[in-house]
Amino acid sequence: MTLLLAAAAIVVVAGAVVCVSAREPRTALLGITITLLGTPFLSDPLAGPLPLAARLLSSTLAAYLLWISARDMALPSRGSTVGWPVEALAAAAAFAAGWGTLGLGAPAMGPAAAAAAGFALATAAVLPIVFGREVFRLGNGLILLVTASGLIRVSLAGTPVALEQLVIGGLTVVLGAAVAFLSANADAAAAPVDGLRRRPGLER
Amino acid sequence: MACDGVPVSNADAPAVSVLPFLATSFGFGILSLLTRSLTGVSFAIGWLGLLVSAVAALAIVPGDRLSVGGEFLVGSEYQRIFLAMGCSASLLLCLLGWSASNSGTWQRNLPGASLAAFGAAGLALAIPDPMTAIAATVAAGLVGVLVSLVVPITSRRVGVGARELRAIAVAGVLALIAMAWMARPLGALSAEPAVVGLAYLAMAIAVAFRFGAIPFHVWAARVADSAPEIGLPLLMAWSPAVFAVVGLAWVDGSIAPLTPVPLALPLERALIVSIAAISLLLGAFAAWIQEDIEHMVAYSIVQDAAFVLLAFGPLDPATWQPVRTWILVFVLAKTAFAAWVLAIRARFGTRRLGELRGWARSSPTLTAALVMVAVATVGLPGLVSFDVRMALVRLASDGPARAVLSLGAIAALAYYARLLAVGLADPAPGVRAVAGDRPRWPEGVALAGWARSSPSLDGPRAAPEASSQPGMAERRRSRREALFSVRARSSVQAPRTIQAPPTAEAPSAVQVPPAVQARSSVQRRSPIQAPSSAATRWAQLGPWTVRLAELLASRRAAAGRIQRGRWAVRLAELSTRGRAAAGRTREAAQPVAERGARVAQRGARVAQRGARAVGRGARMVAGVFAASPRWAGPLLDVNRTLVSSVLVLALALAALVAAAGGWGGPAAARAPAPEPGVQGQAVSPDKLP
Repeated sequence: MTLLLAAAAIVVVAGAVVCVSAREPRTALLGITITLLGTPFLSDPLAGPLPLAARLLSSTLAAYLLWISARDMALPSRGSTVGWPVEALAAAAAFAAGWGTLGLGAPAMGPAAAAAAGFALATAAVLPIVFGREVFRLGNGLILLVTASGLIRVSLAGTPVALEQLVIGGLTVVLGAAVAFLSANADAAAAPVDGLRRRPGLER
Repeated sequence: MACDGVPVSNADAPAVSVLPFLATSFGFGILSLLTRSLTGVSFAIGWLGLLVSAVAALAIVPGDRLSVGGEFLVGSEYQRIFLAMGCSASLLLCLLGWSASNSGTWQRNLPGASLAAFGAAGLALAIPDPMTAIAATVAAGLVGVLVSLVVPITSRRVGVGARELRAIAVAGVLALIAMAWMARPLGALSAEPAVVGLAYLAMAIAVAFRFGAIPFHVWAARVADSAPEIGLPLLMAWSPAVFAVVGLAWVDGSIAPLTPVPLALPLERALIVSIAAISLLLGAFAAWIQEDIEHMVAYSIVQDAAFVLLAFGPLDPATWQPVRTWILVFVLAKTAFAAWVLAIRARFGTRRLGELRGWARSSPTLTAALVMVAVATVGLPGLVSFDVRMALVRLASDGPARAVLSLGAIAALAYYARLLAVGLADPAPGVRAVAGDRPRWPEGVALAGWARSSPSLDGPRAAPEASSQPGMAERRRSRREALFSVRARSSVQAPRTIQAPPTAEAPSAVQVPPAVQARSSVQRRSPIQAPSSAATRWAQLGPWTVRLAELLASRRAAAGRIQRGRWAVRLAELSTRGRAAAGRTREAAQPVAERGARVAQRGARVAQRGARAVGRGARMVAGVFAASPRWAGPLLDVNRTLVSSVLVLALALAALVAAAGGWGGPAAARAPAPEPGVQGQAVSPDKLP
């Protein structure tokens, strides 16, 4: 079980690294979709079939909403300012730290894999949130951060009950919709957030 | 989060009154957002949804609960009032925004986003588990992002929306991790003040983030710059207020029991009170120096939200009631203030204070609304809003700090006074050119004649003679006669005496039947003679027998006649009486019947007139839609500012009533603070030191 959870956690973190490193919006979207779809499996005991289905459905819906805004995006993202190897190494370090500090000094009620993935996702989200100048990238960072907090919550307090799974699913959809709404409008306004200019030759 | 300390049991209730509210708010909200490309349809759906949701919120039964997915949805009085107020205020706000904005500037996402946000808020207030509730409040805040953009959409505005998104998400993550941190057996760590203090601080800072308290106010200031004023209450007041309610419930239920000593966590508490004090003072100052009245609203929200933050300071359940009461007053007053700004901008075309000189002289309605908002916000001694603000200051501070906080509490008067002073100054040219509050009729539109006898919709116009003075008098007189003729006739006929019926004399006129006389004569005279011999004895026996038989027969006949005569007399009496009674009845019934006939006639005339009026009304309504470009549009256009002012006044009045303790706010907020262990797994007994 631990091995399966660890594998799932590695997949989730890999998706997050792809998301924050990719310049192409569709690639970033693929990464975040993998992360969102893998997150519900990082709990021990696993959620019931119905809550799990609700989480997967909500993740798919959020990814679809992001896809709607990203598919016509003319301007590619700047991608990671530090490059994907640095992102991957930072995430790996956070993964190890999270795995090793499960419970943070007190007994934990969830698996170590969730803590590790949560720490790694939070680390990966820092750069897009703090230095992100594009709405799509910033939004992806925020989705990763919220997902990370959910994973840390699972590691500390155990598997959420069905209603909480449902609410988290709704939160994922609303977050995806808000990011998609802003991204689409940012693209329509034809400029990145903080004064970055559209590159010549990329206009629609 | 069920914040009334309603004990959650495992008893399964068959229904919950929260469910209709959730269904209507989410259903109508999603429908309104999906149809947002059809602006009118989306507005109509959203407005109807707000109306239905307000009614559904009022139908929430406190204590009602339903088991859903291993958790409970619990109804509470506070939730009922909060949601009903929120939906009603949004209803008026949407109407105001629709009437005050041009079609291009209307924020089409507002009704749908408001509904979805209140649905999420209702869910959050119904869930006892704080972690689930906080996730729902974050969702409620994120929905608000949809109203942060307004055309023309620029990259700067999008950037502001992104900042808002970041603030909401980061605050939610902080709160969620703080709650998760405390939602397990801490063991020996529970004795460490730093462990509890960090979670406590994280929650308070998350609330400060959401309200844009100084120094976390940058996003809020930018939002005020770019978002429409109509969206500010949802973005900066209603959604953060739900977040704060859940946070306060968690602090009272999970942190306060772990720090029983009043002086526990002094550093963290001092930090929180300091942030609140800075927001109180600098928020008022920032609002006072603003030239843009929309910025003034934003900073006034920041300033008044500091009282909510102040409630995190004491770690005392005594803050539970005042802060929840204040939240109700706060959200309503700030909604009214934002509506006032919208109405001012719509009327005078500017938000710059320098160009608004003399606005109060032009609009007494808006002046009254601003005064109401100011009184509701700052309050007067005796008003609930004033009392709860001072109670929060008293509970959170003592000594010189209390004086500083008290000063901050009344500092809001400064910017309200400035607004009024500018309004009472000599009118600026732009303000002078704007018409006042008086209702007006669009020029060149002959609606008055149309309403009476429009040639196009109500047949040919009546001839002038028909409405001349003598004609009218004649019609009036005939109508009066028709109306009062019955009364007049009855007054003439009333003295007519009714003759006594002949039956009264009937008994005296009864004749003695002849049979009775015959019998008496037979008894007095004896016609029987003495017999002379035996032969004649037998011969005489026959006549005696015959005589006796005759006598007997005559007696029976007399008796029968007597009987028949009495019955005949009685029958005659009865028939006479009956005829008299029938006559009387006819006489009595005749006026009634006549009156009834007249009433029926009159009713028929009225019905006829009513039918004509209904037909005319239907034609008028049809005309409103058919001929709206001709006069209905101009009518609304010329009175648009008046409609806006009245709506603002209604919102301000609602805020004032709430500030005076109406709407049941204090009663709802008086519910006890949640006990440890009530809110799911917030506090487990083994964590208690």
